[in-house]
Amino acid sequence: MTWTALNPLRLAHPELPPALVIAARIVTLALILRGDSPFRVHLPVVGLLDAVDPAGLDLATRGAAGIGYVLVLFSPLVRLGAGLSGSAYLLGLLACRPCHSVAHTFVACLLLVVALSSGATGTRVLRAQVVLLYAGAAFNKTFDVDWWNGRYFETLLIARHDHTLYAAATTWLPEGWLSIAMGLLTIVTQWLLAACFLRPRWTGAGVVLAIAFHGGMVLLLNATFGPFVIALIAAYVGLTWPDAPPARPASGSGWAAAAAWMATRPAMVLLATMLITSEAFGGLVRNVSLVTLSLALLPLALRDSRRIT
Amino acid sequence: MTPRTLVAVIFLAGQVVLVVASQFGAARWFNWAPHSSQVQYTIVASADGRPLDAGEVSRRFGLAATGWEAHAVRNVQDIIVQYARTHGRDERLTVELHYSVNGRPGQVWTWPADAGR
Repeated sequence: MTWTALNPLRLAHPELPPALVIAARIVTLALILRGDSPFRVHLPVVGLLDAVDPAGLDLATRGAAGIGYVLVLFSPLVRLGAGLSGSAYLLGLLACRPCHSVAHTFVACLLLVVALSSGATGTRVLRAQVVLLYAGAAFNKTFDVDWWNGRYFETLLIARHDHTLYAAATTWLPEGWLSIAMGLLTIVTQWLLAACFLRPRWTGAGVVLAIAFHGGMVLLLNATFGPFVIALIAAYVGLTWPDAPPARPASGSGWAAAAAWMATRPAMVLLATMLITSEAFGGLVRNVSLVTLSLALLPLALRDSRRIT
Repeated sequence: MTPRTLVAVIFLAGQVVLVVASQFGAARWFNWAPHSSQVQYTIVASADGRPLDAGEVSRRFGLAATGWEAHAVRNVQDIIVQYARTHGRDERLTVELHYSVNGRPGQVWTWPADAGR
C-alpha cells in the first residue's frame, strides 16, 4: 500500500465506484464536525441490550464509529469503515428508544449501504435506499388524514413555530387552503422523488426537485433536522458523481461546464462540507450554506446522467 | 448473488416490511415516517406517591416533561410503558400523559390504567 492510498481526496477504489467513496466521506466528515456519536443506552428498542453493561456498550459503539471514521476518510478500507460506523449508529438507535431519529437512521443506512455495495452492484443499493426513504415517507403520509385536511401544517407552523410568514400568507387565501395545499404538495412531491430516484435517467430531475423541496423546508423552518440534510446531499452526490473525472473545460467554454467540472472536485465538495458543518457559522448562516451547497451541486445533477448504475 | 448483495437485499427488504407493518399499528418506529405528526404533550408523573419534577421525568423517560413529539403519541406511550415495566417497576410509578395530536382537542392517557390501549 502506498501513501497515496491514504489520501482522502483519492476516490479510486478497487471495489467501489468513486460516487460511493465520496458519499461516505461527506457524511463521515459531517458527523465528525457536528460532534455526532452513536446514542448511549437508555430504554433500548431491543430488550437484550438492557442486560449489557451500558458503559461497555457506549465505549464499543463510540470506538467502532471512531475507527470507522478513520478508515472511511484515510484508507482504502472504505467499506469496512462505513460498515463499522454505520453499525455503531444503528446499534445506538436500537439501544435508545427515546433517541429515535429518522435523521440518524438515514445516516446509519447510508453508511451501511456503502458497506454492502460492490463493483457489481454499483450505486444500485444506495439508489434503492433513497427510493425507500421517499416512498416510505410518502406511504405514511398518504394514509394519514391529517396530511390531507391541513391539520398537520396548521399545527406545525402556527401552534409549534408561530410562523409569521405562513400566518401572513394564510390571510390571502380562503381558510385552510394553504395548509391543505402544502400537505398535498408534500405527498405528491415525495412520491415523485421516489419515482425519479428509481430511474437513473431521472436522477437529475429528482435532485433538482429534492433541493427545491428540502431547501424550502430548511429555509421555512430554519432547521436542518440534525445530520439529515447533509446526509441527503451525500446521497445525491453518490447518485450523480461521475465514474471518471470529466475533462477540464477549455477557457471560454461557459460557466455551466466550469461549474460542472468544479462540482466534481473532491477537494471542493469536502471543503464545502467541512465549512458548512463546522461550528464556524450560526444556525441561519449554516442552513443557508447547506442550501447553497445543494444548489452548487446542481450542475453535477444536470449533466448527462445516462451512465448505467 | 454474492453474500454481501444478499445481505443488502435483506436489509432493504426488512425496511419495506417495517414501513408496511407500521400501518397496522399506531406507533412509528423505524418506518421512514419523519415528522409524521405533531404531538404536543406534558408528562405528569409520580414515584412511590411523590410527584416528579421535570428533571426527574426527563432522566427516567429520556424525554422532556413538556414538549413536542414528531412521530406518534404511541411512541411516547411506548417509552413510558417500557420504563415502568423495567427500570421503574419497583417505584410504584403513576403517569398522566396529556396530549394533543395535530391540534385536536387534548386527551389524557394514564399509566398503569390505560396500558395496552
